[in-house]
Amino acid sequence: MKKISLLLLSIASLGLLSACQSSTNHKTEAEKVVVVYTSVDQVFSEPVLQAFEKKTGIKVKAVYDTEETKSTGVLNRIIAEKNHPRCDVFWSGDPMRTAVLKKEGLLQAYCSPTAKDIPSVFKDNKCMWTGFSARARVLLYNKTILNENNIPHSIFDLTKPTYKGQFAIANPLFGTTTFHLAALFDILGETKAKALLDALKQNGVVIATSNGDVKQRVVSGEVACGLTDTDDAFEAVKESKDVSYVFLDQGDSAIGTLIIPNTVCLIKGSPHTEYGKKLIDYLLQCRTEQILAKSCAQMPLHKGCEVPKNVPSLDKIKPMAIDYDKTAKILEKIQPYLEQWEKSMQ
Amino acid sequence: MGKKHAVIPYSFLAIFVVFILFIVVPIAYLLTETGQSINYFVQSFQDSFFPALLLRTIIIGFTVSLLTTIVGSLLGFFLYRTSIFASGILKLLWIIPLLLSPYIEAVAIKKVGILLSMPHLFYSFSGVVLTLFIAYLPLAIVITGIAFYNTGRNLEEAAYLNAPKYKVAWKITILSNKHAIFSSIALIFIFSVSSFSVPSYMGVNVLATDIFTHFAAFYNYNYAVAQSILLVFLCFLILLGDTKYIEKTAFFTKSNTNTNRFYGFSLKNKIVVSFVLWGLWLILIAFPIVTLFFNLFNNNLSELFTVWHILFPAIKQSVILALIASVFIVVIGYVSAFLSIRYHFKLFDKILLFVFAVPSIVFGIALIRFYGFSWGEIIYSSTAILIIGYTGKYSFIASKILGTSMQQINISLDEVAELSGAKLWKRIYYIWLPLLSPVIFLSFITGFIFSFKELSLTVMVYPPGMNLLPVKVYTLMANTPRIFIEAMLFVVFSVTLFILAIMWMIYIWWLHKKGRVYK
Amino acid sequence: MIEFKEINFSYGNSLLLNNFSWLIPSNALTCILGWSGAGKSTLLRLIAGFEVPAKGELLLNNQTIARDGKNLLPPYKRNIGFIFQDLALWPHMTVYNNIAFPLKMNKKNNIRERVEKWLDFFNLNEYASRYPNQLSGGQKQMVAIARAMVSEPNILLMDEPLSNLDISIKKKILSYINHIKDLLDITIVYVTHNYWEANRIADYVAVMEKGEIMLFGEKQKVLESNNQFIQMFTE
Repeated sequence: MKKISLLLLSIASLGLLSACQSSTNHKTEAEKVVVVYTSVDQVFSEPVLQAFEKKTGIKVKAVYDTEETKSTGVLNRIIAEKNHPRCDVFWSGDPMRTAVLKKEGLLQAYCSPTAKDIPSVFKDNKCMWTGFSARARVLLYNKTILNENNIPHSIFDLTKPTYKGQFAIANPLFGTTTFHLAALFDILGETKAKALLDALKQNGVVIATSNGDVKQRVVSGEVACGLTDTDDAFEAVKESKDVSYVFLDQGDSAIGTLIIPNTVCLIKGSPHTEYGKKLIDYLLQCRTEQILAKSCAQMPLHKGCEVPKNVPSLDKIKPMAIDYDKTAKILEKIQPYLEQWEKSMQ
Repeated sequence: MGKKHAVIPYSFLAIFVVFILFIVVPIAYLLTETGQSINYFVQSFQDSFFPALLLRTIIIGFTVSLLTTIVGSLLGFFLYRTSIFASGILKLLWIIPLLLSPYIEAVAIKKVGILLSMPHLFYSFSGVVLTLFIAYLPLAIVITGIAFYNTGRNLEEAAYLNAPKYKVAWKITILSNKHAIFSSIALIFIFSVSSFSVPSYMGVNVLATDIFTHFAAFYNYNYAVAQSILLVFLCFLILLGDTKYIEKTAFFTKSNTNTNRFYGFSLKNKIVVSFVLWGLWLILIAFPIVTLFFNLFNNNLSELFTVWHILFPAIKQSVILALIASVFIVVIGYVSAFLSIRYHFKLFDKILLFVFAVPSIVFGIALIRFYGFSWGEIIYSSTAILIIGYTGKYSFIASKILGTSMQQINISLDEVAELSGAKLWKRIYYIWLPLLSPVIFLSFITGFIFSFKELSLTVMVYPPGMNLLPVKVYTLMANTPRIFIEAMLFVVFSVTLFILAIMWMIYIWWLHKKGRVYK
Repeated sequence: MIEFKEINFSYGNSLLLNNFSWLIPSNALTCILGWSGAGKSTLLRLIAGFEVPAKGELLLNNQTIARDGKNLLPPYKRNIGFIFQDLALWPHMTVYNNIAFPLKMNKKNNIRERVEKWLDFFNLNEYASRYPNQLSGGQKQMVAIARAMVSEPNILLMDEPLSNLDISIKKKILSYINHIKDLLDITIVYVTHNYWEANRIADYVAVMEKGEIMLFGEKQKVLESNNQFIQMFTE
């Protein structure tokens, strides 16, 4: 009987011990801690956060998201925590997720001094979010299947019979792909955008689970080409000599390529607001953009920010002329249509 | 069998109440908060794709559960009741898929498909079925195999007087354990219809992926929660059949006579059967795993040291967390099974099923919403929330495993002890624990494996700054070279195997100390 | 006739039967009296074919069925009925199916007729669709006997079948056994440690201790003797 009591006591103690472990957010502002949730891949974001911690002495407690949960786990978490926020800063890989938080009224305005020379198109006009280090949508292609003469140069080329069943896009309901489609609706208008999507469907577009999956399929030769982001394309090129990428729609009258900036924002009611602002200032520096350029070929938005030669420059890319806030609103509107479009391919 | 009108022990009732408060109330809170109404259900059925989606989900569930249980029962019989070559080792080798997340199985199957130029093997309905079949086959083998092993010897001998051994094997050994077979079908059905990662990876739309989409893409919580209720309802229908069946054919199959004598079914074609069993293992288990790790082995495992250094802090935390959670899982599972079998109090079991069937993302949101207030800080910001999550999610499995074995123990063994003056906890310690020690161990390692590799729930609720293995591996997977990914998966696989081996040795040592022999 | 010829048999390292020889008479009820561990149940298991003698020979009606570590005739071909101490009724089968099982396995005709005959014999008709856990101790015992008898065995082995029953049920079951004995030409071997049971139904009695037959003969002679071995059971 004594042994049972001991066992029960041990279990209860373990339970209590674990409960007392790593308790963070009830600490006071005086404690040098900042809590950041990020949907940017841990392999890229973690070194930046570690560098901030080393420089400032402010401990960073990060929550990362995963490919498996389509990088929406942290966003749902912030929304679920709205009554009692734990997160100070949200660092997103695109403006779309930030737009959701803005719509929910979960952000507080902060105009960082380090973002002065970032073009205004990449900033919210009320300082709810600020963009930095951008990716672009590209077409990754397999050189062993497509030679120089038959590489698509426009998204409309993907409707041609030559590429039937040979190109992939990620799930149109998530991530940068959904934003890309919303941008097309913005720039082409609803009728033309729907016609394009129907044509893609008729031409046997392959739906991959994620941008990473698109990358894998192109590298392995399962498909000839696929739409993905520059960081995935960069990794693919490092991994295999058989692949390369191209920016679509760069002609004079073409619609341009979608540029997707990282965004950072301050959460309303966050427990460590001042440290949150410091982290935002750090993230929005040219120095951070240089780190991200080197690690994942993300293009700096600061003018004159030097980067390695193999990283594309925004100056040489014709961007799609969209308003990010407006595109986020369009995205919300077209989601039911995208859902039906995706399901009709099953 | 069992006391219908007996008073439930207060300690067990207390555990039941604690479970309700900590785990069920958050889910109920979410349901009331999202304001469920019949409209959301109607909305689902108005979607023209929904009936096909629902049908696909049910077909996957039944196909996987039936196929897995049929094959698993046959394998269970041969592994646990015949003397094929190296059956002891093969029993352990068949458990390997349990050490890997079904998502990883899907990646392995895809690689096999590419290697064999068989695209229909993956990115399709058959790919989903094949992956889930391999992932859950070990469960079916263990559940049915142990039941076959525990069949009363006299029952088989009585039949042997009238029929040759192969007929005895079918009519008595296998058919008298229909409860175990049906339990296997029910459990695997629930796993299959709740599975998100495999259908998502294979690009097949099912109810679980649709729920996820509505949560994660559209932030339409109400609709998603309504669909979750539908999913839970599906699982309950299966459980209803399971419960009815057990009630109708309540029985003992464990003989009271000496079972130390091994009564195996001798095989005329032992070589052929051994060849088939080993061959199946090589094709279904070894080949996909080797394909998965092929590049790694080709590169002389050079990435392993780098990966180990990166993952070690996460491994440490995850192992401790999973071990703690497993203790709670076994305790809750035991209490639920005991109340169900001994006192006919089945509510706890049904509640465990309900929580198990709730999709991880919904459960995660429920925990955040409930504990997200300032009073819940001590739980929310600590590992306690993860322990609560894993306990809630996997206690059902422990309850099922323990319940199936408890039914096979003569209640009079407990009644005699009670008459002798032993109170409940003494009877548990002196009577039930020794009799159930193998399945308690099995429940513990099952709880450990599932908690250790649980991703969806972990990513929803893990405290900021905490380093946990599933999150670390999957976040790094997004953008690292293939060889690095393979190295990470190999490390995870090896660590799980190593921990299980340590637990196994501790268990054998404990048996030895108690003067018992491992069978 | 059942004959044991110089049989050796061990459980693990302990030698239970050492050069054991014995002839059990045909068409009679032989009762083996002995305390636990005497080897009584082992003899039954050897006859049934569940155990094999390490050395020696076992004959059934002059046919060798086991010799020197090998079963020459498997249990299901020996036409034996066996009633186990715990009855071994199959819990997943109804009373009807328990009794019908031997007939189905041997592909006999008129299964329904034959099963109903034994249900009538024991007045168990209304319990035919019940499961064993829904029966009383006495009813289970009757089902076990019916199952053993339905395929008309030449030999019926009974291993302490009445040990868990009260006196009134015992009397009832014993009267059924006597009735069966009178109706059919069948060799019955009945194992017990109960003198009273032996007295009620045996034709022959053997007293067994430590793997040896200490005393054997017709019931009256054995049970009424002053032999020390029989005295142990009358005290």
